[in-house]
Amino acid sequence: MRKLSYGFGICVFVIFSAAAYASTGFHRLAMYFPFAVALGGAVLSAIYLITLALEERQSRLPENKEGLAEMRRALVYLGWFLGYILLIAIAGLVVASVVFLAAFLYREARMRWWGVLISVAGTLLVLFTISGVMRLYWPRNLLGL
Amino acid sequence: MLTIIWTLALANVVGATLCLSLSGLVSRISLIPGKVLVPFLFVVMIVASYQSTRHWGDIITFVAIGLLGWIMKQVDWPRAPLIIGFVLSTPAERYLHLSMSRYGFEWLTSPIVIGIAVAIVAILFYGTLRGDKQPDIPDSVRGPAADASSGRPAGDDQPTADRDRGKQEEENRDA
Repeated sequence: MRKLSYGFGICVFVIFSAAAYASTGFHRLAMYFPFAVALGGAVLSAIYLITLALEERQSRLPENKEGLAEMRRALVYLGWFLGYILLIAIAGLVVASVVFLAAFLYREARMRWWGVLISVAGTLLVLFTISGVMRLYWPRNLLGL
Repeated sequence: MLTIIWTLALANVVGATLCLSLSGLVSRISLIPGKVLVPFLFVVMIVASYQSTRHWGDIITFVAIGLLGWIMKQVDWPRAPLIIGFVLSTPAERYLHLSMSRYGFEWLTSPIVIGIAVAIVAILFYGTLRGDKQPDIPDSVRGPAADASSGRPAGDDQPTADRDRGKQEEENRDA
């Protein structure tokens, strides 16, 4: 987790520094706000990184195994979500939602097949009803479904 | 015109009645395990995020912001200020632009601006001082998760004096 803290802190510092540099090229009146915010952000993220380094030097805490397990779980979930989004892009929202909900509820939530069936049917019903009433737009897909 | 006002008033009354009567039932949603709730929420959020500009970029941004929020949670950065900044940045930039074009740096000398600045600094200092003086929370209240996330064994940060006092009280009770 410490590596993630360092990585995130460095990313934030680089983004704020780049934004501060970029804002100096703006028109004078348009420059003040982004420059002030980016400069403040860069200074604070630098303080964060220094504090992190000092804390690590003072007390060498063991790497948190619980955190690593949580990260693995989160990556699995991220895989599910990215797969769902990819399926929406290929086959459309309805097909993707049916496949994603059924697979996720059956495999991850360990739901029984009839529970999965009712849940998917209920979700589709709600999705179609709300889309009809509120005139929602569904993401475009490659197959045009 | 009168119809609109009556409709609004009636809608508020009906809405408040429904909220009050269904609050118990709605609050039970929080008892549903995350694994069951998440896929439904994700479907709804995907559809909702797409309505912003109806481009695939909306969905990609939604996932990216979700990922950013998760990373912030892991590295113990608060997420609420980011959301507040997201909402307030546009009006703040607009009004700063207006103030600068109208008054230059002179607006900084306005008594109201100075008063607000002093209040902000005072709140920041007070918050920092209060943060340093946070009371020790017993392990029974914090739970094992807090110890696991901090990477320290349970009860490691409990002051020795408190532990000794607890032991003494137990001995007194037994006696």
